[in-house]
Amino acid sequence: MDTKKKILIAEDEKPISNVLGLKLTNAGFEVTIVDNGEKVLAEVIKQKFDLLLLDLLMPGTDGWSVLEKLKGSNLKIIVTSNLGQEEDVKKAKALGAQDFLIKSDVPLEGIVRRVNALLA
Amino acid sequence: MRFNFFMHSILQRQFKRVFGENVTIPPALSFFLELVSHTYEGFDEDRVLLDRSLEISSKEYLENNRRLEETRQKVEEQAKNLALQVAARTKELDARVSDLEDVRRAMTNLLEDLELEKKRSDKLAKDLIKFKLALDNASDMVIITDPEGTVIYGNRTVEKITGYKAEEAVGKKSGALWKLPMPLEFYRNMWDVIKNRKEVFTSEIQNKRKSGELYTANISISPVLSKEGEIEFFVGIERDITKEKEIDKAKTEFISLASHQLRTPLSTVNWYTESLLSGESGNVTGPQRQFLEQIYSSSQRMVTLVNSLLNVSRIEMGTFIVEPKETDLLKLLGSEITGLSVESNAKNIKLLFNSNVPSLKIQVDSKLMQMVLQNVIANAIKYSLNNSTIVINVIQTAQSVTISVADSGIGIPAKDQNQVFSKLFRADNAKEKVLEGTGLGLYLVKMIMDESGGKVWFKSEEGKGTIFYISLPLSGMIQKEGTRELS
Repeated sequence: MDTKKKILIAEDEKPISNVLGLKLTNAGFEVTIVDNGEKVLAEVIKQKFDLLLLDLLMPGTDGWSVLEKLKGSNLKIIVTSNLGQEEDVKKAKALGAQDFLIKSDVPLEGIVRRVNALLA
Repeated sequence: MRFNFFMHSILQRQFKRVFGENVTIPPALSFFLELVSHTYEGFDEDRVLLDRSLEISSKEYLENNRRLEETRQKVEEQAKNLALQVAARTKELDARVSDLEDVRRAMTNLLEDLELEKKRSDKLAKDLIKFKLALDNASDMVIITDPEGTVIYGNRTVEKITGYKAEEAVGKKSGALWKLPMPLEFYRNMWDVIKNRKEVFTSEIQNKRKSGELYTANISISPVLSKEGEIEFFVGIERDITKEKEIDKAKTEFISLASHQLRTPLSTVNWYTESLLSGESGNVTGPQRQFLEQIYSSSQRMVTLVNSLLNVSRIEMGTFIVEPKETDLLKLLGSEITGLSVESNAKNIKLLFNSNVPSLKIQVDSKLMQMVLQNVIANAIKYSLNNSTIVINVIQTAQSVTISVADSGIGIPAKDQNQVFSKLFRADNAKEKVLEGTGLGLYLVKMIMDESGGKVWFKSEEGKGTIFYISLPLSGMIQKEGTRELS
C-alpha cells in the first residue's frame, strides 16, 4: 500500500481549512492543519511533509515570513491566498513557492488537481 | 580917348561902344567911370580870386577825388580780399559744421544704442528676477552645478526639502551636504549618463534631510551643452515624493485588504457549495442540487464582480502599471479564443480567426492585452445567438495593428451607444437577454487601451450585431509606471 502523501495546511480561517482539509483527506492525502506561521515552522521540524498549502495573511508569523524561513528547503509549497495582486504572485514565487492559487477563483477540485500535479 | 586913370578894358570897350572915341568926359563922369573901373577891377580880382580858388578847389577836389578813388580802390580790394577770406572761412566752417553734424549723428546713434542696451539689460534683469522668483517658489528643488558637480546655484526649495540652506550648498560638491545613502554603483552610473553620455538622468532615489530623516525623491539631472557640444553645467531637479509614495502605498494596501476581505467569504461559500454538490458530504436530492447550483452560480458571479471591481479600483487609483514586452499577438489571441471554448461551445458558436500577416510580434503588456481580448470576445459570445459565427480579424498596416471582433448578436441600441464604455453601464437589451454582466468589462477595456496608447471603438446596430475594434500603433503599448499590476 502506498503511504499517503502528507499535506500541511496553514490557514487561519477555520471554515476554509475545514472544507479544504476534508476535500484533501477524501482525495487520499494525510492532512495536518495549523492556523499560524509559528506552528507551521514547528510542524515541518516535527514531520516531513510532501506539500504545504500556505495562506499568506495569518496572525503572528504570516505566510511571507514562513516562505522566507523555508526558502531553500525541499518542501513543495502552494500559496493559497485571497490576495492576488501580481506583485504578490511574483514575490511568492521568488521566495520559492511553486504555485499561487487565489482561493475565490479556484474550485476545490482545482486545488486537488494542482496538488496531484505537483506531487506527481 | 584919354583918361587920367587906367580904365578897365571891358569898361573901355563898353564906353567906346556907347560913346564912341571922341567925346569929352566931364570930371564927374570921369570920377564915376573910375569908380566903375575900380569896381570892374575889383570884380576881375574877385573873379581871378574865385577862379583861382575854384581852381584850387577843383584841384583839391580832384586830388581828393583821386585820393578817394585810391582809397575806394583800396577798400574795394580789401573788400574783395575780405570776401574771399569770408568765403574761404565759410567753407571751412561749413566743413566743420558738417563734421560736427556727423559726429552729432553718430553720438545720437550711440545714445540710442545705449538706450536699447539699457532697456535690454533692464528687461534681462527683470526676467532674471522673475525667473529667480519663479524658481524660488517652485515646489521642486533646482540645483545648478558646474561640469565638475560643484554647486553654483540652488533655489529656496533646497531648504524646504533638505533642511539645508541653498547658500550652504553653493561652492560644495552637490550631495556633499545631504549625505547620499544610495549604493556607489548608482552614482557611478549617474555620472556616466550625464557626463560621458551627456544624456538626461532620471531616477527615484533616497536622500537624507538635515534632520537625518530619509525621504524618497524623483530626480532629473540634465547636462546643458554649449554650441560645440561641451558641458557648460548640470541642472538637477528633485521632487520630494515621499507623500505620494505613502499615499500610493496606502491605496494599494487598501485594495489588498478589500480584495482579501471580499474574497474570503466568497471562497467559503464556493467551496462548501462545491463540496455539497460533489456529494462528498452526503446525498443531495434533485431539488437540493438545483438550489445549490443556483447558490454556486451566484457566488461565481460575485467572484467575477469582485475581481472586476478590484481591477477598476486599481485603474482609478492610478496604481496599475503597463509593462510592455515583445509578445506574439496572434498566439495570445489564439489562446484567448481557446480559453473561451467552453462558453462558445455551450452556445454552438463558431469563432473564425483571420490575419493579414502570418506572425505579429509587438510590445504589449500581455496581462492587460489578455484582459482586453477576453472581455471583448466574451462579450461577443455572450450577446450572440446560438449557432452563430463570430469573426475575429487581425489587420496590420504600416502604422498600426487593428483587431476586430464581429458578431451577429443582439447589437447595441443607438440611444445607448454613447454610454457603452461607462462604468457599470449595461444596455437594456443586454440586461434583458443576458442576466450576467457587471457593466465593468468595457470600462476596463477602454481604460486599459487609453492608458497604454491604443484605441477601442465599435460599430453596432440593434438586432443585427456589433463589431468591436481594438488598435495599437506598431510601436506597441506605452510603458506606464505605477505601483501595482491588474489581476
